[in-house]
Amino acid sequence: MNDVLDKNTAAAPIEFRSRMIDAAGAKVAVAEAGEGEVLVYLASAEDALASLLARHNRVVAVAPDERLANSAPSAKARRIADIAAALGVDQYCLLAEGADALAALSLAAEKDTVLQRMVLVSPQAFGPGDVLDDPALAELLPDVECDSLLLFGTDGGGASSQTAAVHREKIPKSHLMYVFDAKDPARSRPEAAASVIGDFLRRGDGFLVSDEDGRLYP
Amino acid sequence: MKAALFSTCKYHGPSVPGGWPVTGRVYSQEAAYESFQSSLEQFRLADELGFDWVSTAEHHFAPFSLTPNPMLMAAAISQVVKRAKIALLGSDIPILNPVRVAEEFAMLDMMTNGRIVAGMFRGTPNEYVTYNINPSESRGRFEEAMALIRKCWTETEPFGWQGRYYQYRTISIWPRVVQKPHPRIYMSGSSPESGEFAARNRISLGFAVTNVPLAKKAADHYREHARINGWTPEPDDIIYRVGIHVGESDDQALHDYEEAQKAAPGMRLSMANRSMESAIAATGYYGRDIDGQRNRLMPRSLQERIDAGQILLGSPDTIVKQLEYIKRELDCGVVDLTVAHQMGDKTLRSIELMGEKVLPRIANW
Repeated sequence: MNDVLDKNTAAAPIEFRSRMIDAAGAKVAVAEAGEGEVLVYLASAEDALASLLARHNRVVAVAPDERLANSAPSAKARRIADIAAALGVDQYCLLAEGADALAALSLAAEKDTVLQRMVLVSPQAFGPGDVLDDPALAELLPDVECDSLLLFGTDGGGASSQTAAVHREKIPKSHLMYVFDAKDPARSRPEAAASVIGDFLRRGDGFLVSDEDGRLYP
Repeated sequence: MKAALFSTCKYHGPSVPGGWPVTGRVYSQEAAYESFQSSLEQFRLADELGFDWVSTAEHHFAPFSLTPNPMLMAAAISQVVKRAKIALLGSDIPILNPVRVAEEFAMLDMMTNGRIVAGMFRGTPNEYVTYNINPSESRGRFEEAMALIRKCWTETEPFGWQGRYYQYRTISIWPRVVQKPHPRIYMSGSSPESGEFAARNRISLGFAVTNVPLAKKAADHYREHARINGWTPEPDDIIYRVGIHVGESDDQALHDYEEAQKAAPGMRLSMANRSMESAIAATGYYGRDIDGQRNRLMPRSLQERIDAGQILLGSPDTIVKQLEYIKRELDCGVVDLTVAHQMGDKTLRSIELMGEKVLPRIANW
């Protein structure tokens, strides 16, 4: 049974606790809430989506690090790996939004075995010309083995639809998911986004197969 | 102006008069088979005579229509209609599985090599009882189902869908549609909300179970909202469905039609079950123009229907004049002509007269 959340319940905010962690010598500010499998969340803990996911996961939201603003995706990927190591977990999941998708893809391309599942929300790894600035990374993407979910809204216009198709094509093992009536799924329809993300985090590629009980009565 | 021949594939055999749903107690398989064959013959004839389209629709649980699945009917039609477009006007998408609808339309488009017109309607109110769908969700389901069907047709990569009413983990339909980006879509446009949605999404409109004054008001509303959204509908963006019987003379057409109506089984749908219809109305199904929308469905006398452009009856000359009125008022590009199905040879003759003496005179309008 998919009990990720009650589909008709509005998002109730969960309080995140802020702290500093030592990621291979770098002090990194994180905000944490929830229990369960770790989800490293490269987006704001203020989002309703973060609260919803924290109902079933230990969400560790990582604030953007200005020191890495101009670094290569591989450097940002290394920082994510260091954060995961600092958390002391055997495996973790990762959620990245927009341009942060590049760092997440870079990490996944390195076949980081600790990274279990990856969710990219409205990723912008590829431009309209299907071009990835990092040719070495582009070559590695077809071999990404980590279970991957790409989430796009349906209201982003034709360009967004094209971008979605390009991402799916470049990462052949990924699952492309459209959130209806949303430009920005994390903010326009967080409950819908959280439901499918939560199911994917719990079951990985197995989320393709419904585990809902269809019986109305015993 | 284009002409379509429409048939619901009415059953003409024994049935028990009364409400909806209609009992099958006295159902005759022979009559049903003959009705179906008769419809196919009319479509084949229309194709030969130069009708631009033939059209079919979805209705349930009544002798009014033997095509609860218009996709199946269209597949049968595709085997006898080799030239004309085949329009499904329409498929009641809020009560169906949208992915299945997308697949079936695509399959038909493949089978006909791109001759499918994709009508997607909300259906008559009673349809919501058919598959136990809450009528208050009709519009929301319709809008989402249409978006999903279009995505099924245009997205080439496998994709999932996280909607309000529909959820699928992975979709990649085969076969693909022949027409690019997809077959032309029509939706019912009688209510203000529908006209506004169609205008926002550049969708063409079909008017059925209405009359010319009401359709004109709705078409004007649609055009005004299209203008607000930065585009101008073409005549082909509007279909007007109208009943028709053509005779050698006006008197003969009237006589034939009245005789046929006496023998016809009860054909009403929603308004045949008033308590059900009231319960549906109470859910908000009709939207903000509830009185106008319910009034459309009320039965009217034959003369009232003729005067309001709801039925065309007479000789070819009279029919042309009646069509002039429709064209002038609505500037529609397609008339969807509902033949009086149950008249056997007289129905076939009516179609012949349409094809030979009316269609050539309206083709360049």
